[in-house]
Amino acid sequence: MDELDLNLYILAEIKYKKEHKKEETDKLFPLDWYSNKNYKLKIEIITEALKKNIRIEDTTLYQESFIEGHKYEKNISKNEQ
Amino acid sequence: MNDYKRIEELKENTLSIFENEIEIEDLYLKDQNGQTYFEYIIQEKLTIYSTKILKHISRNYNLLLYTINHNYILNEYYDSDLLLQKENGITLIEKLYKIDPFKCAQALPTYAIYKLFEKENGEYLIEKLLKTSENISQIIPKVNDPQLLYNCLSEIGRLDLMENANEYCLTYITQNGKTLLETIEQAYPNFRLNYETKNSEKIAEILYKTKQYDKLLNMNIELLLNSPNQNNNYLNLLIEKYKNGENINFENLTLYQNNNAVATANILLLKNNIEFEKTASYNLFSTSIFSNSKPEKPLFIRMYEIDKDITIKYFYNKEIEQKLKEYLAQINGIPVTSLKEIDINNLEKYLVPKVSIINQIKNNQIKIEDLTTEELLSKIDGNITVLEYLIKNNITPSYQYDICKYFDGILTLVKYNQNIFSGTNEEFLYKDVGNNQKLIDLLMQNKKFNICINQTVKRDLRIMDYCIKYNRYDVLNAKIISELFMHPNELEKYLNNDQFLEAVNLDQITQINKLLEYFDKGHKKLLLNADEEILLKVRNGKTVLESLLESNLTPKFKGGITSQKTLEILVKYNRFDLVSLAKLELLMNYPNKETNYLSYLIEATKKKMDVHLEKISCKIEDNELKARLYIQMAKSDLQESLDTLEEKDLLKVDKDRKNLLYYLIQTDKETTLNKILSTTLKSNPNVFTELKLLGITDTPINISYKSFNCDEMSRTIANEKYCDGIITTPTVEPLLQELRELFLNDGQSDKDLIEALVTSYRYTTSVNPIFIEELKLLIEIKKKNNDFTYKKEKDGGYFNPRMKSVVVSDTTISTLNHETGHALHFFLTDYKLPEQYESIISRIASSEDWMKKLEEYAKNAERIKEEAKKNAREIITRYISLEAAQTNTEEINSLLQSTKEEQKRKYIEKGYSEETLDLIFSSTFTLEEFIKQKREVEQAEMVDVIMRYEYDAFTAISDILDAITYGKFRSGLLSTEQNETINPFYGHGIRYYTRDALSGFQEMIANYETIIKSKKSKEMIDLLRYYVGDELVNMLEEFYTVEMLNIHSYETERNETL
Repeated sequence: MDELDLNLYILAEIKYKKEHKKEETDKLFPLDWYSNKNYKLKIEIITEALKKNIRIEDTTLYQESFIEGHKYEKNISKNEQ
Repeated sequence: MNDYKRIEELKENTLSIFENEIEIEDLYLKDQNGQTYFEYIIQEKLTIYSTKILKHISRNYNLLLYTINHNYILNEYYDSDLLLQKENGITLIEKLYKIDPFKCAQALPTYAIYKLFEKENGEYLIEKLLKTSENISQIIPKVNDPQLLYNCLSEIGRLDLMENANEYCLTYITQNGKTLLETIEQAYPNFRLNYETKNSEKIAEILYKTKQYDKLLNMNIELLLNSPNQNNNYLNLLIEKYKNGENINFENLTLYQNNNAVATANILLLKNNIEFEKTASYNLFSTSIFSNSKPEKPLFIRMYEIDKDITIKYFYNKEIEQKLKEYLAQINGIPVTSLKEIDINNLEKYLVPKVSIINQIKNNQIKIEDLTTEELLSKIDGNITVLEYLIKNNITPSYQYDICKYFDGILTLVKYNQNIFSGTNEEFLYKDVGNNQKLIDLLMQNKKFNICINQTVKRDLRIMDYCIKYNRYDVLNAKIISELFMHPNELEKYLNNDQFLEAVNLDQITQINKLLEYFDKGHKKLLLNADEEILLKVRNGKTVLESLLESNLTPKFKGGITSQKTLEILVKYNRFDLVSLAKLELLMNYPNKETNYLSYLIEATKKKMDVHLEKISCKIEDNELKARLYIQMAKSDLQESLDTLEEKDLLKVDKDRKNLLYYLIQTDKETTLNKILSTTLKSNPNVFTELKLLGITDTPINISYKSFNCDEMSRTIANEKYCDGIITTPTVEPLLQELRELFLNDGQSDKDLIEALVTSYRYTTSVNPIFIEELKLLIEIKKKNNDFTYKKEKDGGYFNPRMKSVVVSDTTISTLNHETGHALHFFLTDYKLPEQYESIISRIASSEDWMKKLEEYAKNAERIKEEAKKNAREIITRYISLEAAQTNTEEINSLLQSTKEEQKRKYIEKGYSEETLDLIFSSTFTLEEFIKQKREVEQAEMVDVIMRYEYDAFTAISDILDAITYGKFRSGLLSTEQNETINPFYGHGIRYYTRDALSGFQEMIANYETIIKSKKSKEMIDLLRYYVGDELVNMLEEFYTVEMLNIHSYETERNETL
């Protein structure tokens, strides 16, 4: 695990939490969020959430890269390119 | 925090004008340009929700004037006395009316409205305002004093404005024994009813009795068809009179409301041979044939359904034929050209087959939320309405608000004891419901209807009789209390009624002077519920509060105690029992920080006086204040009277991002460690770490904390869980070895994953021989497909059939089992879908208790999540080595302290975009914040591992439930009967199933694999049966055994299995 990625990820999570400080922490992160250790991807998702001022679960990138079926579709297209 | 910072924070977050988040002092804070926060709110037209703030503004002349001068209207909060004050010779009421009469009518107290009809310097205020704008007439429906209204309007020669008067005024009987309506008619024959009064049954009755048939016909057609009663309605009565030779002009009918009523009226008239120019000629296809919203049936069709012959005779012609073709083509989804000739006598066959609403609901052709209120209240099978049918079947439509607007609707809800969260028409309360009872009787008999009554009563003081009858005053709201204050004779009946005085809600009473007048007359109890501001008013040299205390009366201080003056009085009268109700800030800071009111309370406790320390409110956000409270109490050994502190209280950060533990240690380290923190609390890993960070190194508990590797941890748990005590068998071990070699030699599969797969099969085959068959099949598959691999990727977690790969992110065995399930489904059956799949899940989803089951599951899931969090904390202390390295603070410090450009440079090299880095580094972070967050992330990751190990089958059930709801469960789109969202849990969510609805079965079979391979498979299958029923579980069992494993003696083996 790259410590640098994790450190940046932690900063991103702090910022995201600050932006949504009114909401319950439980609702800010999808249930499967912590199964995934691809911190670089997770930083990109948080960036999208921060830019659009939405929750992680509602970002396009999360939908495409976390949910099993979509993840598989994305990987197919990646492999076929 | 300094003023600028606070005001900036308030401005940043407009939600702060909610209750409790803004203090009165905040209103006066100035920003760098000298603008106060109050001025900012008013200029920006932000809505104020806080009662406390609204009250403060409405009772302060300068603030109130500022709002009025900036065209800002407060919601229902105006102080009558202040409104009468003048600025430059103009009363504030007058100024308010000029802003927006309509809004004023909503916002102003009744008292202020009556000012319009009072003379000042020989001129009525309304007269004066009419000169500027006619809009002021919008306030007239709010006036409930008929005589005052009539006298004023007739004196200024504007009786035409009486057209805006409400039903109460028009039906009022004047001194000459006639109704006001008749009196106006005589003076002003052109008088017309307005939209509201055209719906009044009382007015219809007067018009009928006084033979004003033209005006009666001009009323709402639905009323004419249903009153005085349906069989003998006004339209029938008028037709009879017409036949008997009376001169009645049916041209006055307003035939343009809903098509159903118009059709009924048309047919009724034509059946009686009454024809006139206007009859139904009003666009036969009037309403929205082509609209996307739910269209009404065309008038022609409505009439056809009532009387085919009359409709064809009077209305069918070439033009209508063409329109009809277009309509029929549209509803049947066919081109118009395909309808060459229409069989007009048998139109039914072109119309959509007439399926009852109930059948449509049962067949999922119509959603309950799409039903109109009219449809809900329509009758089916003779007597029962759709609404009643739904309630009997435990389905309550969620939009009760509309149902409550109809008498039949509210009555049904009451009769079936439904929860009602909205009000109804105030008139309905006093309608008969049989057995000599009125609706209000039914409502009063059950406390669950409190909200409904409370939201309904506004003006009608008849409610008071029922309050006495049922001894229930809790249903009275501020509006009706205000109304009561407008009628002194009525009010006086209750001034000696203790129950009334206990319950009376004075929150929004604006007639403060009246209240005080009654107080002066000796009705002191009336002010027991008054707020602090009123209690501090001075009467005859004493505050109201002092007079009450001297009379041994204890005010309730419902809004708490916020004034130092109140505390002074309470201390003077030795009422320490009440002092503890004061706002903590007052208790802790006044008269001064050293000898504060809390110290008075502590002294009084020592003297064994009546003190209620337990009433001190500890639920405050300000950690510094809270810390001082706990320390001061602990020093006198009284800390046990306060709320017990838990980890979450100690570590919750306040607006300065500091936690309570920080302030406790800062304020008094010794007292905190020795008296406030229990040994258990001190050994809590999070509290312990926090203490370390705060420099406390001498705590007796010897544990410390380090970063850990989740994957490593996961393997340790897997070994404990799946390897300990497992006996290897001679049959299985060679198979496992073969599986291992096949995959390890393919050059692509991940070694750790294959070992985990072997561990899983070793365990499952030892529990149930059916998995030996599965293992053999997996080996066969691999032999035929050497490119079938198990790979590890950071964002894995799927099976890819094209690449023939199971891709996962770590070695969690339940995930491996799930993805292997997908692979077996693909290789062994080519993703076959059982024929009965869709019908089975549709049956589950429409079963009576389905939503309740989901709700129950979600509640269990919440409990399990909490359990997992607790376990995570325990496991962290159990597994982590005691002398672990401190988090590498140096590296983090260098990251946090370097310049933004330096920070960015490191990451750009790693491929991060500038945009991402700019966004993240636009904030500053503290080391404390960083460490805390890191710990939270690690803990959350641990919780995830625990969820997947300890609750693998439980989460797999969640995924199956989600598939049945096509993802709505996971996406949080389901709600309970009480309209509360059902908390989502694991699953795939709605977008996944929108892409492919049938992929639900693929998930189900993979989850079935997870469940039957889990540690408590039998128990978990039983649990699955409980939630989804036998039919689905049997189907999964059969599919797995017969279709996938090809074992045909399924029935006989079934009982042995699992």
